[in-house]
Amino acid sequence: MNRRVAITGIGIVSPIGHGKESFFASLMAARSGIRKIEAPFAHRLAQGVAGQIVDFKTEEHFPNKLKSATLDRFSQFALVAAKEAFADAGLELTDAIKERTGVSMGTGLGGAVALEENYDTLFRKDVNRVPPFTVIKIMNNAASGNISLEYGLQGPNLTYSTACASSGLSIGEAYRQIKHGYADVMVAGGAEALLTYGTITAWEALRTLAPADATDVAASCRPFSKDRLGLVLGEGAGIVILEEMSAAKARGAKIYGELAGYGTSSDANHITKPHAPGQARAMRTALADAQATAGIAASDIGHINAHGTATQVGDVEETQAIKATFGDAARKIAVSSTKSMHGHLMGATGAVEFIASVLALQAQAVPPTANLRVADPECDLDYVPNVARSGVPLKAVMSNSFAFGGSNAVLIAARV
Amino acid sequence: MSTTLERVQALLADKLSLETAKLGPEAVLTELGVDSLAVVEFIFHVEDEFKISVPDAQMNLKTVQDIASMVDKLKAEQNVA
Repeated sequence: MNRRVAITGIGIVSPIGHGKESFFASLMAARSGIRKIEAPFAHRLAQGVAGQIVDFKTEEHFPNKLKSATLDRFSQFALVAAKEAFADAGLELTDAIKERTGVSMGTGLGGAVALEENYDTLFRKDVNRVPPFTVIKIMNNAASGNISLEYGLQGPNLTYSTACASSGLSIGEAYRQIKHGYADVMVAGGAEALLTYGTITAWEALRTLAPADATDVAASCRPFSKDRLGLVLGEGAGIVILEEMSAAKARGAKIYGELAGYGTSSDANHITKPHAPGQARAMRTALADAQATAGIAASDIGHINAHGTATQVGDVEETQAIKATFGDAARKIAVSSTKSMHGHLMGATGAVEFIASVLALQAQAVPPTANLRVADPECDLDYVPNVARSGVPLKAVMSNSFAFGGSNAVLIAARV
Repeated sequence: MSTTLERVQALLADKLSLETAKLGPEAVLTELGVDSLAVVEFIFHVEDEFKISVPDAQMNLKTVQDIASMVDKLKAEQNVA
């Protein structure tokens, strides 16, 4: 069975705005949400900068304390994004549809906040007693489970944890569930909330985090710029509603685009070092899928939302992978790293960036790579430096996610 | 000084976001939407509030009064003022 897949709903909680309008407006204005971390432990951090969400109030979204007590921050983000996505899709959830609707979420660390509180209580406070909901807050599939529960969705209930590619994979695998007939609707995306003392310190130890920029903290993440100094962590959630195309059209759904291609590969090269051949393999696989599925050619890709983490090595490898995949045509593609504004949302980043690319497709407008101060001869593509572009004819867009562990996920969306 | 029952009722209203008016002594926990998992969570707060330790064997609680009676019994056993 080979069915086609429509994107009909979007929901997002991010450091640069909650809700798709706010998020995309920030992107187009090159408005960064990267800031000094506000936390009791902030003074103990070496870098202390992140795409931290500071305007999310749990009690506003979850007034019932019994409910909120079961939800780690990452699940809260996921449920809020899912609510927006369903409202946006306008899909009536009948009993028959619920039976054929699934959830596919990505996360790196799941309930990292609850996990850290647990250890803090036991080891630091020396209290030998922790809240009963600790387990159900921590588990990696808490977000997907809670979405399924909230809406009564009885199809596949999946969670992918492949580090930075988690939600590229979760969306791609959700697409396959519909394409191959295992579900008719999928709620797909990712959620992450790992800005805890333990997690940030562990990342600092790896020496991949950018320091706070001396003159402009918001510009600490500088993908493809020669003066880039590393990635900046972020938090949030992104969710899309995917529907079988003919059913979406039959109900008159607003369709953002077709999820036309998905490719995944493993570097099988190094546990952390990005690897252009592995990345290019995922891009080629996605392009072949888009060609077979929707007749989309490589030359139809007008915009790539790059993985673009702003590490010295990673941005060069991705540039090489794009050139290896597209040849000379690579220079005609508008390649943006929106991480320059929202940071690296880890398990949620693939979903948030796929959403950015789908909104770009819909708006026929390309968000910039912010903070691109100094050209790097080794990064010689069109990165849409600092200023967004409107009125760009886009037929299809690509979103790249590459992970520690070697997992790569590439998604392609096309106009319908 | 509030009675144990009143304190349990107030704690239920606060920690589980329940309506105080529905929390009569004979109110059945499952009918209030307080399932076995929620009871476990609530007992955690009960232990804090009354400075007692609730053994696993005490968890067969059906009504609001059951919780208050259990608290009084454990306070006596554990010599809590």
